[in-house]
Amino acid sequence: MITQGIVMAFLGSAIAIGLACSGSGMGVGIAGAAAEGVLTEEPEKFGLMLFLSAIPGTQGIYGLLVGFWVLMKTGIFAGVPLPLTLNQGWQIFFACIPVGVVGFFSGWYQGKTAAAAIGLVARNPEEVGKATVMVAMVETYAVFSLLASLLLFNGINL
Amino acid sequence: MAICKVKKVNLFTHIELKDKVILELQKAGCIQITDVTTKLATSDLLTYKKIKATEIDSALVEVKYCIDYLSDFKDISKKSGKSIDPLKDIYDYKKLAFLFSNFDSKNIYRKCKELDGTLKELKNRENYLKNLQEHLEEWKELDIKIEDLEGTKNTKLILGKIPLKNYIFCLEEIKKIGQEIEIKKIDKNNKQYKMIIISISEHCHFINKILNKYNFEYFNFPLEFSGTPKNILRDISEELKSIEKKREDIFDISKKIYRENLSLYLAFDYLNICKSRKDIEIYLKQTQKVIIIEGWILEKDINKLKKQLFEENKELEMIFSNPKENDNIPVALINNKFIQPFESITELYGIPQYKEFDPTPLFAPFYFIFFGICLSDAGYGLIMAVLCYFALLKFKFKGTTKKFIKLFFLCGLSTLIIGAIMGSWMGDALNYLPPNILFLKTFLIDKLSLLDPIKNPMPLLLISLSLGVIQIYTGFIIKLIANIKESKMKIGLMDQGSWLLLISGLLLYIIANTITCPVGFKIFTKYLTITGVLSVVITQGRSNKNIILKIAVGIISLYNLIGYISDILSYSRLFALGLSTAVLAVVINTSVLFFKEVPFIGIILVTLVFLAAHLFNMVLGVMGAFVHSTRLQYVEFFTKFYKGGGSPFKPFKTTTKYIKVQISR
Repeated sequence: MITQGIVMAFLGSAIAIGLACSGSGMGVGIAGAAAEGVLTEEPEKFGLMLFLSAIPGTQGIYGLLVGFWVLMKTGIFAGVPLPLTLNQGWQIFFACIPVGVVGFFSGWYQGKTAAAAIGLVARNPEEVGKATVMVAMVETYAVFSLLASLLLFNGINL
Repeated sequence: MAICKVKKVNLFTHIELKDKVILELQKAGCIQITDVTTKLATSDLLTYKKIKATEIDSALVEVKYCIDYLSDFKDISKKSGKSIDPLKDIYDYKKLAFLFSNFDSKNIYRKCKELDGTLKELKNRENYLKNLQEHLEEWKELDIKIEDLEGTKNTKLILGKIPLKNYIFCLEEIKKIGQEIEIKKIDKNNKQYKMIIISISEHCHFINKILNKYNFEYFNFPLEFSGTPKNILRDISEELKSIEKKREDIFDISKKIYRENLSLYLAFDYLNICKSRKDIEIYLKQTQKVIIIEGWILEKDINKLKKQLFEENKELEMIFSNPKENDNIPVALINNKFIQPFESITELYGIPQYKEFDPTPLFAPFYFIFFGICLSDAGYGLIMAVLCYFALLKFKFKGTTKKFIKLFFLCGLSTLIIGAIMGSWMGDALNYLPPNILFLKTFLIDKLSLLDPIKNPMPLLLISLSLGVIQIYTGFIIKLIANIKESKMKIGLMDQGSWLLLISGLLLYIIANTITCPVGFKIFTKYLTITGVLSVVITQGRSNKNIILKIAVGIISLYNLIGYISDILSYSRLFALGLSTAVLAVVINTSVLFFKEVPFIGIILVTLVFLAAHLFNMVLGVMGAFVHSTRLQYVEFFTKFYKGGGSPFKPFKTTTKYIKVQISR
């Protein structure tokens, strides 16, 4: 049975996946454009460039993860949705907010950092370690938002 | 310890032995030669002039050119399969020199240059002809010979195209100029008329003006040809064919040259070896009869060097000495084979300075565990370990790459262990096993698995945070010990001791208040915390002279506490990443089953999607695990005690790109 609560769970799942994946899309786009620039000159750096421009992709994965988890735990995936109350639905919705919103912005900005890192590595390939750490600093907050979403969701009584 | 002891070596020898000694040094490959030209800039010592290495340099350029040119013909010639690959042999110096002296690189260079030049000419000609072809194609119907289009002494011919809508106006205007003009339409396409204008020379200037106004496109006839456009087109296509033929011939010749001259690669490496010997000479100084070489050597290599040098030469003198304080001493790391792969992580950050210690053994166990928790799937770990193991067997990796592959092998093992503890084998794939091998599941999950983070995530979160606490403590303690070793006991106790006191007090206080424990313990932790706070306030402002500032700075420094706590919280990423791989794997397994509904090929689809999706998840997981375990070392751990920024030890040795050179006799 589709209750109002389930509809809210849908909304939450959609926000988590939609926003986080958009952020990642933008981030990977920005970083990828920079990588293409480097590759025109030095095609042999493909591996390194792929690695750096893939890092902003993780936000999307986190969003997908939370979204899928919601679908799984509410039984939507299995085809037998739990009869959630509106209250529970709202809780799920809010649990999805961190990973969605943070994923959007951190994915976007991580893309910019990754593009800068790509510029650095193009000139100084041996500094890839330092460049990666700077990119990973942005990732921290995406991981924290994932953590927050998971813990919030874990606190809901289903 | 894990940083090699380095000695300074000064080597003196007779000038006539220069080449021989440098060759022996290269063979020994254990000295990093330093530039003494500025240090010994006295007038009675001569700098080695920039030696005329031009011969080697130019030969190298030529060989490189040939390699680049011929590499285009490599793949095709491989199919013929007959070529014996000389690159797989192992050469020694004597054989290499002998082979090189018999090798006529000049001749090959000349051939390649000629072929390359011809190819380029052919390409240019081809482009030109193709353009012309396109151009002429539009005038195929014109039944006038090109040479006749030049006109006569008094008449001129103008050919071209004009937009349909402009034709009438243009015609009228031209007619106004005079009677002696003939205009003929030849053909039209959907946009333009093709027309020909014949007029006496006097009118040409005016006609051109009008034509330009109406966007007339002139037809420039190719005067090098003769005949009607149709004939010319035929000639052109014939010439194009012959170009294609010529090119194929050149390809065949090039392929043959490539097959017959794999020694080019040999020559390239040999020349590079020679060049590096010449390059090193600019670092040397000499008197009238003696040359001076200075360098760094690892203490353990001293005997090897002595043996190598004195075996063939007697007329040289070596002095080994301890490095001075302010020298920029190069650093080489040495660790046992379990720790060694982790050096790659240290190298990425920057290797330690000579006076520091090597952090590799200190973070290696943490890294090992962290990576495992981040990836946290036994199936993935097993795949990783097996892949890396076979890669190590099959390919001969060198240097950093080898270290990385070994690192990933170890990390794979760690993932296998931790994944088994968490009961995740490609997610929950074991649940879908057929009933007759279900005992596998019972064994793997019920016996081996200790916690299930998907059902109950809290224990894993607590484990992650505790690991953080342990690592931060380790960082503090390492710095404390380092300070004590440098006999800065007081500083160590004040900077690290006070913080250790405060953080321990705080943590114990929190623990004491969450679980039931004796009242005495609670009071003890309370006072411990207060002592910690006081000790931090008192010690941290000590560099200021003013007593008020001392206390103020001390109090402000308590703010660092937030930094340390956020450091510890940062380790929660281990939990988040670990859980994310595991949950995604479960999601994959669940969604893969949808494909079962597909008729006929359902089960094949399920298998394919299952493999592809898990591979994808694994690659992402490995990437995340690598980046985040590394970051935890760099940002949270290293900042407590480690500086880095040493310069790596780079011995002067034989480096080759294509072939293997054996040095020992």
